[in-house]
Amino acid sequence: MEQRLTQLLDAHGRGLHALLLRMTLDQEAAADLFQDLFVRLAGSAGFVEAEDFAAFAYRAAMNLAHDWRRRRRRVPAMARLPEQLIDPNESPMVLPADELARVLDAVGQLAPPARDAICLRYLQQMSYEEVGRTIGRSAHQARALCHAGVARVRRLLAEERRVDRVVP
Amino acid sequence: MSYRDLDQRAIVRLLRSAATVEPAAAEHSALVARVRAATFEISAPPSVRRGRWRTAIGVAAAVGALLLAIGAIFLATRPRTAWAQLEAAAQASAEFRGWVGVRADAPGARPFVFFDTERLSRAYVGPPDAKGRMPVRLLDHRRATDFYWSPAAGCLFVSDLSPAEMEMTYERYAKKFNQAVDFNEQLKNMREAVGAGNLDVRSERDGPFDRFDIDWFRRDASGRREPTPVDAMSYWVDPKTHLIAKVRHARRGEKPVTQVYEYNDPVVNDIYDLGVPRDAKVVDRRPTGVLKNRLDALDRWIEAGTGDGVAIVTTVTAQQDPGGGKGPALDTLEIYGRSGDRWVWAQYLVGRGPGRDAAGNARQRPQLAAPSGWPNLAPAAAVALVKNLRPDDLFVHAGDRSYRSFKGRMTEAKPASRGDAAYFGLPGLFWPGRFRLRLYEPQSAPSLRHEANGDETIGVDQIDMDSMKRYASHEVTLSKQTGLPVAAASRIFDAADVERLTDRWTFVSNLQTRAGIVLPERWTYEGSAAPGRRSIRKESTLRFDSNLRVPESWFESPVKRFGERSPKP
Repeated sequence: MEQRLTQLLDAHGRGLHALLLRMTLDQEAAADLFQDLFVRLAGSAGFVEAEDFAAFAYRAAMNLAHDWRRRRRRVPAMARLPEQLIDPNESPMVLPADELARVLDAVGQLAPPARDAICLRYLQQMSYEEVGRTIGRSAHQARALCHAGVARVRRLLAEERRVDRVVP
Repeated sequence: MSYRDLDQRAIVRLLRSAATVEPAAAEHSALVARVRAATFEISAPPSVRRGRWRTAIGVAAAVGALLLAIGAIFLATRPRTAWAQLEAAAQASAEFRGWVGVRADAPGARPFVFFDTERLSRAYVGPPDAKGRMPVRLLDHRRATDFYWSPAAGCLFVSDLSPAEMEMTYERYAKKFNQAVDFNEQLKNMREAVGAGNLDVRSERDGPFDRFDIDWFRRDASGRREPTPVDAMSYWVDPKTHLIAKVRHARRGEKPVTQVYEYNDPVVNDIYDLGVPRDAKVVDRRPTGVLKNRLDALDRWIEAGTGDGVAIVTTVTAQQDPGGGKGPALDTLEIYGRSGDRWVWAQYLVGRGPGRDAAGNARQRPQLAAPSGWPNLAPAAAVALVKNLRPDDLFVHAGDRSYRSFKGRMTEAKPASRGDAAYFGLPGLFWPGRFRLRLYEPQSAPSLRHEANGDETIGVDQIDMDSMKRYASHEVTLSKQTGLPVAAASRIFDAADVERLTDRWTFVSNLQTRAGIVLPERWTYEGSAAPGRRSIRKESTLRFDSNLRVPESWFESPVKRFGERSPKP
């Protein structure tokens, strides 16, 4: 177990941390989830038995981040200005980050294979082969999931333009 | 915020833009160190852990001696001098009080963010629209005002700054959000993360500046340094001011990012100092007159809270919608406990099998089956019922710290803000005040409407500040007799201004505690999506017991109270 965790931390630690940061757009939350992830993996029989333990870890990380996003809908907008995350050379600001958060919320509403494929492909810049390996599908299926998933995200955004329907 | 319609290409482009976001190397290294400590302690079986402790005790003296030797070597070498010089500059920069502008290191680049290190006012500029025009947002802590300049609309929108934002301090912000404005914190983290022995520091003169280059090395499993640094930071210090003027961060194999820091250049006295035309049309959305009086009174009801005691809210689904294959909407039991300045809110899903939670998330497992007599439940019985159950959702404010969501914080979190209290406390969780009406945002336009029966409705339209299209609205209707909410609604509109999602709350009755505090007692919720599609109806009841207290353990860290869950996949 310890060897697996060490290997994971050394080989994929930065990638997992980056994925959590990109999915949460919140440094503190990403750090919490990263730590949470490894503590959970350390107690997981599935992680020990997984043929591809890195893929298992990526899927677990995405589940944690999506859970966090769902719960996050209750937090007031003012508390989550994500400006610290943006590369100044890209001439960025609050507006695209807010829009990005909206898109990520919509991605979170997709079924797991599609939402995981989209996160790995576009946020993590993995090839379709890598995406397929991680979610247990072929590269062709990963490509189809991404394409259909993005179309579905567009429909969700157009339909609902959601701000926060939990509370008035 | 501006919510435009996105096509598939724009969605992919947005997602890809996030791929450039990387965790700071120092932060990541510190995190990895924490994870190693936490994880490997947990992953080892007890016998191994005991063995580790014995080993650790056995080698402690040797490690201590080694550390002393490394420290002595480190202090005696040139990097100590360079590091000390850099630390002095970081200290001076961190102590600077005034406006700090940050821009990309490119000719003609304009600062994209400004910090007032004294009061924490902040301004953000850009990105440019298709015509090269750049919006400006100024969170002005001196005037407690939120400004947004929309070049597309040609208007300067003005609103009150949120009290939650006003509670933020520069120190807290710098530590939590943007270490780049607090170089002391940055260097401290860097050294703690990688250890002094894993940093190489060089200094040299570079034009008018003193330049400091730091290479960070990782060590392999055998403790040997890798030959090439994983990260490199460069700092340029102005010897006249002793302030850090430029920082470059280069990760191995990636394009370096360079930021230039300008001090009091300009001083931002108001938003016009940031290039906003002085003749711009001003749209002041701060409530005044009768509207302000009504909002003040409403917020006073909400801020009165509950006083010490326990409130429970039982919610049953009176009319189900098909749910689109997501399963039935589950009932909920919410428990709110207050003791002095500490309070806790916990929500439990009630049902026989998986279904949708209060936010509409599918496949959620209920924490308990409906108890006998549900939903008629006394607060004491409810607390006893969930004593050993992990809630579906949770917020704990334990005085000097808070824990958000069931997962809690691994590290100490700041105390709850007024915004948190409005979103997770009572009665603000159900009666919408300024926070829930989204009044602390410049895109929110409030108004007051008089109903035929004498009641008054406060309405707030959220309007895209570039296209000037409405995308959401929130409202609360106040009783003519009591000034208390009798109804509330929240609506989402599509680009054609067609109502797509509607949430309505009707408050049927209130209760008054022995301390004279008024709380909502019974209400109904109706939600519907697009005409002719889904609709749902729920009924809620609040009961309050001022003599009851939640157990002290409820104010502890949720991680300590509940332990860890196993991962999902």
